[in-house]
Amino acid sequence: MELISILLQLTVFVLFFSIGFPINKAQVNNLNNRSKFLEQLIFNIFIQLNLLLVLSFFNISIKLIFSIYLSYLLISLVYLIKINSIKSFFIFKNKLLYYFAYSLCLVIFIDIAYSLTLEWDSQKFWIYKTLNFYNDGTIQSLNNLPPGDGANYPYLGSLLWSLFWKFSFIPDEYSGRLLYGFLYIISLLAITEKLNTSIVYKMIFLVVFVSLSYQYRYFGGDQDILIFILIAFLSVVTHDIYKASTKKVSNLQIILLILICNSLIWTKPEGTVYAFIMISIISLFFKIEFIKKFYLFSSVSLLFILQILLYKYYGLNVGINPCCWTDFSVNSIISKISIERILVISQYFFYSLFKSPFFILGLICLISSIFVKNLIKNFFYIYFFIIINFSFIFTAYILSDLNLVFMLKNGIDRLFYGSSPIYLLIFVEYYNSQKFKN
Amino acid sequence: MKILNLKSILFISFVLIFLNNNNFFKKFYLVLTQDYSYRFSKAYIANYFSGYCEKEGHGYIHAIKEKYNINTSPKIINFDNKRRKIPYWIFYNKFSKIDDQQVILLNYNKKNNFDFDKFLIVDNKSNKCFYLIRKNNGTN
Repeated sequence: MELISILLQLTVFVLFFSIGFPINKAQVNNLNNRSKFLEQLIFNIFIQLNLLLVLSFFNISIKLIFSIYLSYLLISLVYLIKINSIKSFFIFKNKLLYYFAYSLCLVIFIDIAYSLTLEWDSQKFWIYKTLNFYNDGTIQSLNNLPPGDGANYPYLGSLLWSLFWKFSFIPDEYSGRLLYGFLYIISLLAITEKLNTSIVYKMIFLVVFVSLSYQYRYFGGDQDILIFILIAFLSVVTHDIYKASTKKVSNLQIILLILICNSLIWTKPEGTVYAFIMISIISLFFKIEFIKKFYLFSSVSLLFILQILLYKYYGLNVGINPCCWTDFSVNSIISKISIERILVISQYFFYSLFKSPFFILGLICLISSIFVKNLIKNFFYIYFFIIINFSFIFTAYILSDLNLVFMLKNGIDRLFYGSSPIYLLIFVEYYNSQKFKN
Repeated sequence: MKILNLKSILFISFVLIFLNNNNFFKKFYLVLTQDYSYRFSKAYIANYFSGYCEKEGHGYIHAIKEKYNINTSPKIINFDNKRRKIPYWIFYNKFSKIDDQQVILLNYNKKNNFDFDKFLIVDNKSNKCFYLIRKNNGTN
């Protein structure tokens, strides 16, 4: 019976995220094209995640949020029927890759349903945020959570967890976490779709990417998996913009980028850092119209300000995690910068970095690409992201006030994991530059 | 045709390796045959930080919840020497909702100071973990 419920849960995810207003009318009758269908699917996902998030800003319970969400889905569905394109959304010609991806979701779901344990951070912070929403609490009632580290963290992941738990066929908390499994597979599918190769090879690469990156501990309620998912989508959209930079970048791509950045801002504090790193790189180095860069940068900045204002309005604290960073005085900062600390951080830094399969894959492709003419230039913006990301991680640890080794042992792996999908872009570029037999 | 066969063999091999590495068939069978409570206890018994009636005691707390159909979290006291998280979340209530008329004791031993006279012992696991209900005339 539980297995049937798990299957039904997967069906719900597929149906819900397949429904949405067509991103452009010309595309409506073209959804049998696999990549167009993926564009629509990603767009639906981010419209829906942001809709749920925005509804929570109005201090309403998830019962009401879910009712409005269902109404949105219903209106979209009626619209799709009206314009006679419902078939294109649900009949998947040429979509073997999607069926395969959904099967992989099922494998992940079974693992989550079997393994069940919640991770340390999850038991300390995230589950109580989830329970707040699950028990009809609102953004304001987050104030009732125990004070201390993490109590005021952003909450998108917990909101989704609670919603898809409360309105699911399974009464237990893990049902909400199944959504992470679904989004994880779709995010890797989105990267796989960028490979210029046959469908069978795409399926092979998808299963390899999942094999390299899947570990249950990332699905135990911690939010690093959501960062991973969002960075994967962000990488795909950024890659598309980079490729299209000589042509015209569509407004849709900019909107999607803004929606992904907003999701990052509301997931974890480092999500905000990643969002700003990426939009800064796009603004500085990409050849797109100035007005679009302006819209992008100002929108994400405004969304970040909105988060601060909302937190202040509801009496929540948006400051940096007080467990680990307390003293930012010049004297304290200077005292923290020591050779000994730098060596300790470097040791854990490189050890964790070389434990990341995606980083090793990216590094191999990067070294190999030295011998391919002009290819290395294509990674230009990725280098910047990686260098700024590494600097951010290094700075965060050097400025920490908690026991450094304890923090490194428990956090640095997850930080690298969250940002690792970007290394796959190096692989994608390298693979596409080679003329493999397909 | 030859290439297609090679691709198919590669694909099937990778899928089988993935499924095997994740013990998919075993997990599928266990999810099919075991109920959530049993899997939950088993998962936490295997967990480094927890167990059935030791460390954070997820297994015992969950068993009490199921056995006595408890909806509101009892007060949970863990006497372990190490600082342990208290998994109130198992009861799926809000953090602030705790019924202190009921108490769950974990890792108790006779050296610990606890006044049992004020409570009715409803469940006792090896004199180490208890589920207690406050007697009507009991005071804090």
